[in-house]
Amino acid sequence: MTPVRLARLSLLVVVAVVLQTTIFSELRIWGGGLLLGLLLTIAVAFVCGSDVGAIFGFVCGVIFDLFLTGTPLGLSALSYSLVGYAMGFFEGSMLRSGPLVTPIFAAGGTVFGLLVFITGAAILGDGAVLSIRTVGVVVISATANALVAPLVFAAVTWATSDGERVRVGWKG
Amino acid sequence: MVAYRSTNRRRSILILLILTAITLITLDSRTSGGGTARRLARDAVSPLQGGIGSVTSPVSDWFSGITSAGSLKSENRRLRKQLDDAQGQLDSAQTAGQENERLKKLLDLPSVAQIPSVAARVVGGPVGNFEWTVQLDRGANSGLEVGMPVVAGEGLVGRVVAISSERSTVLLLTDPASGVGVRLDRTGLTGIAEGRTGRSDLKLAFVNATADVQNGDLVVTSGLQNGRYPAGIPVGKIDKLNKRAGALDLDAQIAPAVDFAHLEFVKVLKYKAPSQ
Repeated sequence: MTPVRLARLSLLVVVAVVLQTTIFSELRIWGGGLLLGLLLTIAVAFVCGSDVGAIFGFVCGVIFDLFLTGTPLGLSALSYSLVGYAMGFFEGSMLRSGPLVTPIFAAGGTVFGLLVFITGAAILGDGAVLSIRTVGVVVISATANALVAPLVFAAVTWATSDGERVRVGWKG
Repeated sequence: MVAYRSTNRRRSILILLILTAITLITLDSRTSGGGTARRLARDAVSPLQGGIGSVTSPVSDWFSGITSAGSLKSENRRLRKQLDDAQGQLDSAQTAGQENERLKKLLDLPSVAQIPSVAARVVGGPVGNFEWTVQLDRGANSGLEVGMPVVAGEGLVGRVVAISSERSTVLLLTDPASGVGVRLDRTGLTGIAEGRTGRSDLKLAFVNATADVQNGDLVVTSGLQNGRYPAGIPVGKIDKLNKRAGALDLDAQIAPAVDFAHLEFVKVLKYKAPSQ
């Protein structure tokens, strides 16, 4: 990872934190909404593989944990790093073709990440995450992340490229 | 052999990250170190949040208007009716209020009206999917501290749980982690008002099944036992009662006095619980 790529990825994380804590904290339907930190992790894992995905997920998760209130520092880091690893591993065994690849990948990663987060929170004693409402939250968040995925994946592709043109998501 | 080593290296990295995350979770649960880190992080992005927030607030308001358009008309009718009722009650309430103040002075009890407060605007909702919080545009620089009660015109909103220089986060009464000591205004009966996951109403807990509770009873903060909140702040009204044969505790729901979906301006009371 070159300093330029690192700087670009850091910039994306800062933008994601600011947007998540301002506009996307209010754009919610039935409690669910876009999860930019998780989506960034999935995109990095897709583009860079499981090693970088897991490390990026950990760092991004810790940063997002600092802005959450009801859960301990480290829970998002744990779930994001697992998502980064799993999605990077999964990406290695799939074909990159078709316009629906990135949205489906983002939706699957979001569901997995939220399930890890919910399980962790429940183990730590937060029974509030185990309810019917949670199903709706997972579905809405996965859908929202799938819709925005092409944009975020393109941003991550730009951040991790060294000038060469790389297209992700569909053949063109 | 190379592929095997690579897989092993990946697994080692993952295990290391998982162990670090578990250590962080344990440390944060046992110490308050995370609080300082949280405050520093919130301070760092606070200027950016202010700028972005002012640009994007029209979009948020528009989206909020769309998602709640269906309920606005009926809510408007309900509010007009409430306004008519309230107008009639205002005169008698003013007289009772003055009498109440005089009596409290005689007994040397703190009154909400006497507690200094800071007006704040709600500038954001919860950052995560599993918390019921709002963000305010006032923070430590305005004299706010963690634990201070937050009220709106109609009643209690919650308490400050996180703070930075220019912003603060308020845990709403509807959060399942929130519990408020309450008293029924009509009978003086005490209990706890608790948030319920994904619900806009509250649960009245720790009240005997045979207690004298009726629909419409006003519920206010009790202020008992050095509570977090001063006494007498309206929390809501008893909305539903389910009296089941053989039950030890009463199953009652409280409709909150505050409409949490449309909070815009609030007051943070500079009140510290006597135990703090």
